[in-house]
Amino acid sequence: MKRIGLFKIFLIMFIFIFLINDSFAQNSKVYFSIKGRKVSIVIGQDIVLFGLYIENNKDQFERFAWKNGHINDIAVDKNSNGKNIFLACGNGIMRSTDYGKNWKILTSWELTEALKVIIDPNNSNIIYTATAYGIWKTTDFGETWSKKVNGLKITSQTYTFCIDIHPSNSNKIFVGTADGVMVSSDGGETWKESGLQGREINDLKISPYDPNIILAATEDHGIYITKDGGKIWKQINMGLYSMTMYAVAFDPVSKGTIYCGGYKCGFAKSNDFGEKWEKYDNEIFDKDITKIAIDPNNSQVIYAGGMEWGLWKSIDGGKTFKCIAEADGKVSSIFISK
Amino acid sequence: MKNRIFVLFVLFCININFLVSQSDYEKSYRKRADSVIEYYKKLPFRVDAFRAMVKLNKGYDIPTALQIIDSLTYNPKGDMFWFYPAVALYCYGKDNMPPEYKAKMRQAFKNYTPNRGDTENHWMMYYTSLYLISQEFPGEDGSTWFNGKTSEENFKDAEGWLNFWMKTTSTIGQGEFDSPIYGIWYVTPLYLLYQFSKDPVMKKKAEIMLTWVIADFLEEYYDSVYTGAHSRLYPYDIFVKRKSQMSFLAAYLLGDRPLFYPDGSPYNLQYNSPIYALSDYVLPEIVAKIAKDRSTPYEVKEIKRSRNRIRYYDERNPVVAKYNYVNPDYAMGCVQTGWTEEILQHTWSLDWKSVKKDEVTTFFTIQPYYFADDMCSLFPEYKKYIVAGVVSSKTEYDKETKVVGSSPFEKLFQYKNTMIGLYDLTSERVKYKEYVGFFPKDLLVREEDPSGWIFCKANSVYFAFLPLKPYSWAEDKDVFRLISTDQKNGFILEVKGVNEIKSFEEFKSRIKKNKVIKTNFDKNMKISYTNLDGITIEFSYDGLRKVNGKDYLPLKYKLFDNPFMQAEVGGEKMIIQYKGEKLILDVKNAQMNYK
Repeated sequence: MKRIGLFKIFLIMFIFIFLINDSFAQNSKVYFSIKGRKVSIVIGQDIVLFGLYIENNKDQFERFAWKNGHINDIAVDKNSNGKNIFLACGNGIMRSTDYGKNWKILTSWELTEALKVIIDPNNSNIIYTATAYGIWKTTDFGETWSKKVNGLKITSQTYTFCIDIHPSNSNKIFVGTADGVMVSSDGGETWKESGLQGREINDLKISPYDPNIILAATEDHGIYITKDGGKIWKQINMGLYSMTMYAVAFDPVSKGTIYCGGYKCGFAKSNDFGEKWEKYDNEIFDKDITKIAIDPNNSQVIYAGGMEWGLWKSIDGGKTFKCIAEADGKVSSIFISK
Repeated sequence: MKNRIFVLFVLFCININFLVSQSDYEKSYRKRADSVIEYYKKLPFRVDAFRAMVKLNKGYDIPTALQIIDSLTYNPKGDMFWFYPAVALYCYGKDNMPPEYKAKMRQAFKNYTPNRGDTENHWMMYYTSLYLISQEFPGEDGSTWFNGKTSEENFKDAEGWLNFWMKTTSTIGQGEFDSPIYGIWYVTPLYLLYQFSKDPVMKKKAEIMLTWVIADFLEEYYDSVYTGAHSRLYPYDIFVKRKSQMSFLAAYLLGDRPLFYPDGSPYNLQYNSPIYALSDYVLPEIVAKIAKDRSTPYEVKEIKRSRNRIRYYDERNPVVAKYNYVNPDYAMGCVQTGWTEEILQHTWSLDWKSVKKDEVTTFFTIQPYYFADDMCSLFPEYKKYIVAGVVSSKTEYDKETKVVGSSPFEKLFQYKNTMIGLYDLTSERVKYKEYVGFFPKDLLVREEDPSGWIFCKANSVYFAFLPLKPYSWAEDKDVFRLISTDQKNGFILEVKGVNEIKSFEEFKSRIKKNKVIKTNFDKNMKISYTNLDGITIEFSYDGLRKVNGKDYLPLKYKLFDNPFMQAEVGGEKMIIQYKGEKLILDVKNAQMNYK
């Protein structure tokens, strides 16, 4: 009886641990890419250690994709359970339809320097890429692409560095350029200025709970927020140590909680839409943070990456961080799938 | 028996006809090509596609060639610098390649991913290689190629870029223009494209563009040097110009310098020359004649384009106007207006004849300048890191002691033998508030005259340099640097060939009498100079250019305008002429006609 009791307890514990682990494994998967390392990159050098990394177990990553030192962004089709992955690369847009095993460059010589790629949340066949030469769009899952630059001024507005799509209105798209924010209300056919002209936009995110709230990180003027869909922008820099900001993020659960990272100023958090930023005296306090991603299933889990510092993870909402991969790598993108 | 005699007779006639129809130029060219082949054929093992290519093509020492293929296909590296030699090796060598080695190479084109690169020469190598290798293996699906595209998709992609480049270059000019280094990576892919393209139109266009690029080079070739301004040049090649890759190409094409030392070791040998030597392409003799004729002075005016600008510019490829004055005793050339890039551009130089080995025979100035925004206009990187990123491979870019690189705060106006340079260094963008003149230690004379002129005598030229503001000297290994730090600054330079004036003394005394007007220079930055030929040149920093009172407009230059070559902007056509001979390169219609 005693033996059975112990066995039962052991079994229950085992199932409990298994479920916890399983829930982690199923609920989120981290993807990131390394674009450079502390050693210099010269065309022609062997750069085999760059590329796409996909989490295969908790905090363990496997290198996928081909040798490509110029992966700028990752997008995973949320309806494919990680099967369909798109990469924005210097060579164009790449796609895998088998969990990253095989890849194809979908685009021609005309579409290069792809800096961001994003899948329409309402239709996985529609994908946009922001490139150094403007916006391109596909409506057939990447088979064919067309350039969408009507209304973008050469060259500073065709230099598109970030893009986000309205969560419920797929025709509404915001783009961050070297000359402010541009908006399209017709699926990219035409573009209009939507504020911050004269500012170089390094990152732009639409709130997951109120699409009128948008954050923008700028090269020289810190962070801006709009709460009316891009009509009025407000600078929100109180508590920030740098005006050069690279990354912004919304907390998926807690309204009003936002995050940012920038040039030699680490990671900052605000609980009041940026009225005041809080900086933790942690391991990445003075590092260059260029990418931030929040686990959609647990907003205490935060990933940050930057210039030649590898991928860092926090499990306490940003209070402390730990380097979990590629400590000398320049993280060019982080993507977390649900 | 009768049939055999007939066949021998026909072969004899063909040979006779071949020998008779070959000009002396072609004969001597073929001799050089054969010497390259012979040299490469006998080289021992090294991981070098070119020697394997020659060995396989000639059926000589096949085991070594196969050993090289083993090495080249084991853990390849080098991106497009691996891709084009590998494709050349396959195309030239496949007929003598055992099936298992063909398969090994084919596998490498599946497993190894060459990056496309980020500059025009990278794309030229990449797309030419992609075009030819996808043509070699038609009808194969995406799983057999490194990028997942089918043979047809790869072919179409490469063909599209190549046609785009040909059209752009023949309408608004080359971006990476006139580079003594990078020029080779246009010439070499075009040789391959010409040799192996199965599409007769592409083959003809490759022949046309190859002739175009080489003619563009050889019109400015002087005493084994690629003279004038260059889009890109490395510091080493500035002072050792006769060892540049394009100068070695000229030695191969023209035979003006030996390719080998008497003991058979390589001397002026361009390392891509096996690709040329195995090719059927022979440079049209008219171009070679132009290259060798420096009997009378002539002006070269050209339109080129800036490297792709991705932000902060109103145009993708702003225009660049280039000028060169080629004289029997020297050549002097500059970028009159615009600039293609800030990192490696060599904006102007005066070059003269060399009389001893490794002599420094060039004079120029630069404004040492770097700025993150400029780099951001070229590369999609964060501004705060971009200078460090560039410096990681182009180490001199942000250094005060740099010898290459353009500055938007350096303005030049050259008319034949006279150059005026102006510098406004007041901008916050200018970190090093100076311009620097590089006076070689190999000059025969460098003397500072109380008049303010610095008189110099070299092997074939006299030149006089007038700094408009005070200066100091610093000494380097090969040169004395004149450094002038006034923020409103400039110089006047006048050159005469030793055959154009009686003596150095006369040159000096006459120069001192020349009229220089620079009233209120610090306010208007305007200068007027009347030179030894009585020509008055007016120039201001804000763009006024006059010659003898008439406006001078570099932006109105033709695509090519010199006594030997004519081409209109947008024309896709070049007319090459020399003493009654004429060759028309018609890119649009893929025709090459002699008249």
